[in-house]
Amino acid sequence: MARNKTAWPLGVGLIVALTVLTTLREEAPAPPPRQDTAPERVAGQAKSGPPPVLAARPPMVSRDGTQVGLDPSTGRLLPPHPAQRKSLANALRKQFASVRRAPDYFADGTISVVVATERLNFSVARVNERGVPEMSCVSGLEQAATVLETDGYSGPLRAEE
Amino acid sequence: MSRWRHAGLVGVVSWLALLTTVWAGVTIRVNNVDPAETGLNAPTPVSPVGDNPGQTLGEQRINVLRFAAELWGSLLKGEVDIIVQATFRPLPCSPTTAVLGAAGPVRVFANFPATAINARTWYHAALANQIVGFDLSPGGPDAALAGPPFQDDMVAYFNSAVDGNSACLPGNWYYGLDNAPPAGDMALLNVVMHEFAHGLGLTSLIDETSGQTPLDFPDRYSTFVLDTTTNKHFHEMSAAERLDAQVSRDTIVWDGPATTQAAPEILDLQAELIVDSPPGLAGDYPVTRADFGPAPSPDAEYAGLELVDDRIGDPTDGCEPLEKKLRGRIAFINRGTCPFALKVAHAEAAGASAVVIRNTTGGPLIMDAANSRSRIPAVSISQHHGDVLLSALPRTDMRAALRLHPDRLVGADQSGFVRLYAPDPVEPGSSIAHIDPSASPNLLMEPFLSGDLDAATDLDLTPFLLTDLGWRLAEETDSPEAPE
Repeated sequence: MARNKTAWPLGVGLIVALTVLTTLREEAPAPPPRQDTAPERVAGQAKSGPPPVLAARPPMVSRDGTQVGLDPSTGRLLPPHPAQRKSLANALRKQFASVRRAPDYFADGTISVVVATERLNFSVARVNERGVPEMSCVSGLEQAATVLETDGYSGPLRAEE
Repeated sequence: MSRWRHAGLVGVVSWLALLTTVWAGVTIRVNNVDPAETGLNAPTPVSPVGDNPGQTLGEQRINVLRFAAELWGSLLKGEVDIIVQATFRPLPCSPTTAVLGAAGPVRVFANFPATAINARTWYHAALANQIVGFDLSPGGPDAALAGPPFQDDMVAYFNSAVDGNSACLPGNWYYGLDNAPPAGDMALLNVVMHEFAHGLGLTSLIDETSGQTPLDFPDRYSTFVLDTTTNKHFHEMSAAERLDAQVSRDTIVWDGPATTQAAPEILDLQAELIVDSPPGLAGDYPVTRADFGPAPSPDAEYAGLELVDDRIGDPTDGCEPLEKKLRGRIAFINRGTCPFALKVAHAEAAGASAVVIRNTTGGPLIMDAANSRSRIPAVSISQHHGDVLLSALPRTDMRAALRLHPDRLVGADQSGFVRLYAPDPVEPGSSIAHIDPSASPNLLMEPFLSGDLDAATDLDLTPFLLTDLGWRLAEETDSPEAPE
């Protein structure tokens, strides 16, 4: 079934970008969990077509210091530059920072360890040269952070030319 | 071919019918830990999509998670409910990169009272509970995400920022259950099915940076991960040996008996290039089948191997029509400049019987093409092996045959063990927790989740991997073929 794609209002993109990046910086490491404060949006809301065009202006900096990628001449959202990628990776590290806990020993000999945020597999996506997100799964926080930090990654074995 | 398929759960059984169907599997419950109005409770109105009847964003999200839980629950057998703690919340994201989600076990258990197999070996909570027959961490469900008392069995995070947000990837989550996402969108169901499988046990507890495990106990998964160069399983290695072995391309395999037995029914046969003259180059050369065009013949039909010459630019790249007729010979073409499909089309038009494309930048390569109508088989050869042939081709009459090996499988080693992904150097996505992406067809537990997966109807080798760990399969889904 076709999704309901509606036009993305001018300016909202900037607010969204700031909100997302700022929210990420504000995420407390889990546990304890934090409230999901980002505004929910309509699923399938317009993403097709060109990125939102915003009024030309200098690169914006959110209050946490994370820069939003804006082309100063066109106002379009841009891929993150290295500092922004590093910031994203650090946000992930902060969000999933784990607290090593002592094992639990039970009377019947059972031993248990809580590994809730220590042994996660992460699904990540990178946009390939054709503009299509490619999904992959990596093991552990550091590998996921590496994917966010590095540029131009796509599956190493599959190509069309 | 006999693949592991769900018994027509999608398209045949409706969503509502599914919810009322009594399965003899294990019950997997989704514990929604999101606050009101956000994430899995987002009230934004949406239209039903792809058999997902949810009328709010939150309903559609949780429907996908519950559907995945039903699918796994219908397949696996167990008496102890599994609780998956789930959240949709903003995760790091940009216009070109994003974390889509994360999942894993909440707890692992060892030395629990059951059988000898668990002595000093970690088991994921969901599996340990089924083995022992009761809930080792009773109570719950937990009220907080990844917080005390840690009574849930699995935890799963998904990125809510993806939806309708140009600052976060160009695509949206697709919440349909029919695996028919619009171009550029990402089918959440496939991601959830993959991540839930990790949470059910298909992941190692080995720390990738130190090689260590909690309390130095091995985990159940690692007991089937074998380095064929040392003939040691990962649980038999020191931490340093594990770190070395994680980057041992082609030598790390899964030797669980159920998976190994099932592999010939699921994996494609491997292609090989047999050179029989000149004698100095005679031998079998490993090649990788393209994801388009027909498979090579099982029979070895020898023909000349000829380096193409298209007379323009790099004359060996086959990007222009070939003037010289190849008359049944095998075309040898260098990678580069134009799509593989075009090279193959030019060779086919010139009368070639098959195509070998030499990778110019490294090892095995899976050649893809969106719209190829090729009627001749095509394979790629690594730069290393391709160079051996290329050095002799311009001045040598070379005879070769391209055929399917009678029993070697794409994605398995010569012993029939399925390869795990352990590339050297380490690449993003590399992990012994995944099947090597060279496997064909594409498998759910490969690290790269490609668009041709349909986890709702075809779980390929995954149930057998879980069986090796100790999971029992529910009889009702024991039929390998789905009724259409």
